[in-house]
Amino acid sequence: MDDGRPIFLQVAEQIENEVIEGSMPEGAQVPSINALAAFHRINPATALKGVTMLVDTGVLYKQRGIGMFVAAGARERLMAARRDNFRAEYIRPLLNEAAKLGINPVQLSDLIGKELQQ
Amino acid sequence: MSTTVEVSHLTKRFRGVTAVDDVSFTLQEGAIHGLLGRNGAGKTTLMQLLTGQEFATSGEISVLGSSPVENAAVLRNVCFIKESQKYPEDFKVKHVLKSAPWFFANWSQDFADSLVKDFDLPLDRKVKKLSRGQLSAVGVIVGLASRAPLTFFDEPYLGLDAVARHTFYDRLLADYAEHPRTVVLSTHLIDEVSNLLERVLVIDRGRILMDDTADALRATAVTVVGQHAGVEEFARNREVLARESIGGIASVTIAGLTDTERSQATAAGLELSPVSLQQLIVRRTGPMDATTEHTKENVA
Amino acid sequence: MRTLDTADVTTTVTPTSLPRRVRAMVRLHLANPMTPIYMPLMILSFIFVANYAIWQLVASAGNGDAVGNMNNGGVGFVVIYMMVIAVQTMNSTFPFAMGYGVTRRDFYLGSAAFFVLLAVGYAALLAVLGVVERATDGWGMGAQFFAPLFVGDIGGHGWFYLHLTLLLFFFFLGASTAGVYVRWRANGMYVFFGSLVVAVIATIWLIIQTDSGDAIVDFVTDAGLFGMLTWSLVVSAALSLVGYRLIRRATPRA
Repeated sequence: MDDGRPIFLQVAEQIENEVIEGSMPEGAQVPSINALAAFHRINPATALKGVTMLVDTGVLYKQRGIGMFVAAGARERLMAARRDNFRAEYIRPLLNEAAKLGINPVQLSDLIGKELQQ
Repeated sequence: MSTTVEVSHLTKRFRGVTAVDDVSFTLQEGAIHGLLGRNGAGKTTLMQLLTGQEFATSGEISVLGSSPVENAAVLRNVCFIKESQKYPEDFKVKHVLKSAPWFFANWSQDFADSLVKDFDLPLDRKVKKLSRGQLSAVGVIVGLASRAPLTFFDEPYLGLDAVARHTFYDRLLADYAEHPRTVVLSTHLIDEVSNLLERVLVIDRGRILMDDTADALRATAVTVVGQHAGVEEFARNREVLARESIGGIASVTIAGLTDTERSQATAAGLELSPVSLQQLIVRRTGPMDATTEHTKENVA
Repeated sequence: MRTLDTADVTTTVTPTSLPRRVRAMVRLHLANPMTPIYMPLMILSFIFVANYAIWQLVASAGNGDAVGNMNNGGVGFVVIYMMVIAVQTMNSTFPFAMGYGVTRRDFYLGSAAFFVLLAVGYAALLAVLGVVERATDGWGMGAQFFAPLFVGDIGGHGWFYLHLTLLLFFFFLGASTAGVYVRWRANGMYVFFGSLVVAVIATIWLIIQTDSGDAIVDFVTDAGLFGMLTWSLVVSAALSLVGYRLIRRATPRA
């Protein structure tokens, strides 16, 4: 857990990553709040906050008395949201750094091409 | 949100020293609270007041609905493990564990036994012969196994090494998850416990400095790093908590940046780095000197 | 608040009645029976046996009568030991009980009950041993350990009353004195002992001035042993109240 953003966000993000990567498919049960809290060594209230956020954004749904499950279409929705942020979160910093190092756009495309061939 | 403890304008003076100065706050039922502050800030005195062990000079305290002073019905729900707890002469560890259940209705012998194993505590040794770490372990075990609805830990784990401390945090979290209760943890090892805490109360020189959720507090400050000129330009007219520089680089900790302001900083080529709870509290409660712009007016 | 799979917040525990709380406090005092029971009994036995051995040696050396003025270690030792227990109770058990959420009132009531219990127990034991000692004519050697001869023939009940009142007196004397310390710490002790010295000197001066020495001697002889013991009970009761008042405002400072 890094100090960066609120911990509940980090918990939510970790679950989101697992959904995107496919290790938590549609309908899969998410670990209980207590299990999450114990694993991350955080207060259960914080874990609850993260999970509640995912329920609110439609990534998870709650089944009373049983637990939390990955909602249908969650993966697609998350991918779409991430794609929207991709430009701001990855492209912009990449361009900034390239500019700082004096790499022009042509050289940048070159590098990307080379890397893709690997 | 219901409250277990309500404090209003509480003051405690000892022969000219004001240990607790016009303090008001509430404790949320079933939450883990951190009572953070430097040594001598008033943490222990405050907890002694809340548990009826000290008498207030003025102000009001309500624990579970009534004053805790000489109130057996309220105090039965309270467990207060002090850092410097005294034990009866010639008591052995086993006597402490044998007598605790007579006073704490929720005592769990199973939990106590497993904790004794975790901390490797010699049951047959006299308490006065225990090492510092073992003495702390006794306090920790009683505090945890009591499962009292309102449990205070006053830096009881200071004598414990890092491994034992993390065992304590783990056991606390796990048992708290199964049996939620109101917990107040006082410490100056802030970063170690910051993930355990739901609410944070910072006390400095007898006054409450901060009273909020841990997440909210962490968001109240950011460190901006970059070239001198750019950083100073950005920091102008903002509340500065700390300032450092080396070579041409300056690092300034600023209070309360909005998201737009953060983007502005990054756009200006400045780097933003988070401020941990410990750094935040150290900045806010540290000594006042020329290099920090920490003045009384900055204190909330 | 919490939903999902977290348990309900621990609610408050049901309050217990005063008798139960006092009983818990008494149990706490007896949790380590070594200090209040086994140790004093062991030491008492040891002292007695040691003395017995010495008496035997002296008796066999010829002068059977020389044993007559052997010490009264029995009562003396137990009484002092109990006073020490009372002091330790106020010093160490008090802050510990506070940590367990015991009120000062319950602590004091439980401790007083504990003192009374011990006093009754030891008084009974000493009385029985005293009766046996007299019946065996000083353990067959004219020795006196549990039943000093100068006290005369007061019977089993008499011994019980004597030991009981003495023990109660020293218990509450110890508790009150320690109470001064617990309440006002070192400064309190200086003031206390200073005042005590002044009070004693003042009393002596007063007695000399009013020439009431004889009146006092008369009072004591009129009261007799049992009168004086009963007066000591009054003093013990007063001391117990003093101790209570002291502890009500005491704090378990480290």
